[in-house]
Amino acid sequence: MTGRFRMPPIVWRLFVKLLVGVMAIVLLSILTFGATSFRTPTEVAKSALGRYVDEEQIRAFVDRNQLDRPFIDRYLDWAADMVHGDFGVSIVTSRPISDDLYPALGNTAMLSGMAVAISVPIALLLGIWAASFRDRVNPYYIIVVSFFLAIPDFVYAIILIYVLALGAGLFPPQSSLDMAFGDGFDKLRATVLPALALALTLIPYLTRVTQSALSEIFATPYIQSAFLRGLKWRTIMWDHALRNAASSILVAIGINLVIFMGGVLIVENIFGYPGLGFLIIRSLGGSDIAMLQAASVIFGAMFISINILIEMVGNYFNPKLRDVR
Amino acid sequence: MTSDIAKETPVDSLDPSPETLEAASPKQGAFSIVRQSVEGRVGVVILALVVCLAILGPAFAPFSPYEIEVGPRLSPPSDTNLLGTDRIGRDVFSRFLNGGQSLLIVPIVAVTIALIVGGSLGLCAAFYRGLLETLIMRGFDVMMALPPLVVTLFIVLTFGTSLPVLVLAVSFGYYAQFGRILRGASLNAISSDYVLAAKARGEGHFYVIFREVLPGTLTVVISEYSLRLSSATLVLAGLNFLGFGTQPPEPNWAVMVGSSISTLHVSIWGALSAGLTIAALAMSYNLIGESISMYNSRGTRANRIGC
Repeated sequence: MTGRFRMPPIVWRLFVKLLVGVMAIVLLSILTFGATSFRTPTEVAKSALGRYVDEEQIRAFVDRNQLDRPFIDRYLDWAADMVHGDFGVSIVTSRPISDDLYPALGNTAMLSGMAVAISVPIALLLGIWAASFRDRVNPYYIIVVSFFLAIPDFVYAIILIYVLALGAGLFPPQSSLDMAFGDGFDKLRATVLPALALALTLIPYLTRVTQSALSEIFATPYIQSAFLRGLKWRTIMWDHALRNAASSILVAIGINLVIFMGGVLIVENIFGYPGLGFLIIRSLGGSDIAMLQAASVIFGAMFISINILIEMVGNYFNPKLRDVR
Repeated sequence: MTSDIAKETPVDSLDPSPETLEAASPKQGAFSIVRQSVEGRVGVVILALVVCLAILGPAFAPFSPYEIEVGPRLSPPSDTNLLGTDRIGRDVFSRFLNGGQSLLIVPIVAVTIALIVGGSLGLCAAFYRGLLETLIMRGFDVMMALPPLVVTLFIVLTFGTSLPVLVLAVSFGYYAQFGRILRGASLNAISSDYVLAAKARGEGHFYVIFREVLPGTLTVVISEYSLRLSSATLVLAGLNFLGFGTQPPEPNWAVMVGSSISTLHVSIWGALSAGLTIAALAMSYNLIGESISMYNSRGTRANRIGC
């Protein structure tokens, strides 16, 4: 991969990863801005001001927001402001975008964190269990896992709403917007259901990844010799197998983070959970362009960064892992 | 989401004996590979059932899916309305029978386009190497780093929700994946002796690619295609669910689930049957893909976890 001068491979890989990540964020921002700037200035003004406005008002609006400048100029200005943390003012609510954006970012982080905290321990246990008693293929295991993998996130969500919210009355069926979403305990309680729905979509996938990584390790002579030396099963599992499987598991999670991301978008909208995904869809519906741009770039950037982070941790666990594919 | 569960193993007792598996030639058809494993057979049967439901369903619908007030509004399941009625009194069962076609067709078209475009790029990368390969593969890296659902949303937002746009939007997430897979698989083939022999015979590029390299990648491609089809079905369902794609009066399984959320207290059965049918469809593609990918990975040490 390198030319004449040699860098330590891990540094090179890190550099390439970062570069690709930055390029992806830039591309995402161009896409976002492009997609939302396709309409003519007049249309933008009309959707912001309402359908029945006269020419004068539209012209004033276009002037005020400088909508008639070339696309490149507007993009560069917007991107520069964004890099400085200035997201501008929403044309629909006339409030600074950061007022809505940062709480939403926090809420999404809380939701994702809770979903991961629920699913990872369960999935690890299930994966270990699935890997431990098999030294042969069990087609029924594959069928069961495939079934749970194939259930869309929104189906998990309606089942949860039906059983836990409407049936048992344990949680509110809607996390709901500003009113019910209070502080402390209420907030936590409203987060449980969407987090469970997300966790349910994650568990089969993580189980599969864990089991498959572990089975691979178990087939190596290294583990077989550990068994032959008479080490305890638990020791072999924790000290030998899991430590080696950790990097494969992490890398696989990183690659498939996008599944989780789509899940966040959908689940937040089902429960009316006031996070980034909900903000994106709401601003889409309300033609709140500036909000949509800011929210989607932040949303995308958040996942791209986490992806890079996970890969780096994975590389830390397995320095041999240089060129995956 | 492929994995190599099978690879190190003596084959399961339910499978045909190891000898039959070993005897299978590399040129063996994909269908006979699928037929050899339990999960493959289950996948084919479920797929056949869902396809029948989507195609023949409309003929058996007791009401028109558009006809309103065929019963009391928002009624729970009854003898006349097997799955109850919705908010404006349409028969949910009839809408269920009519709602499957787009979820069946759109993902197939989308993934096929991604396979042709992404696959050709990957093949070129493997065949010509050099700068072209670096450019293509780095491009794929960037595409992989982009969050597909957000990009898909923007494509739909920019160009509207007409059918071709929807197909392109769904296909977006798969170009890079097919490119990588085909590059990997054809690199293997290209380094083999039979391709060298063909080159030495003086065959043209066209001949070498289509007659020597591609046939060797066929099983890998089919398994990947099937697995991606499963994920594309779920992506499309998610898009439909969020309100992109199929628009309200048209019946659609994902939209049915979406519109039932505020009326769950009446009945969950309509939403559940629609949702689980989507799951069955995605599952069947997944099982078919898995069974071929296990066949491919038996005996090899290809490190393909996840994805």
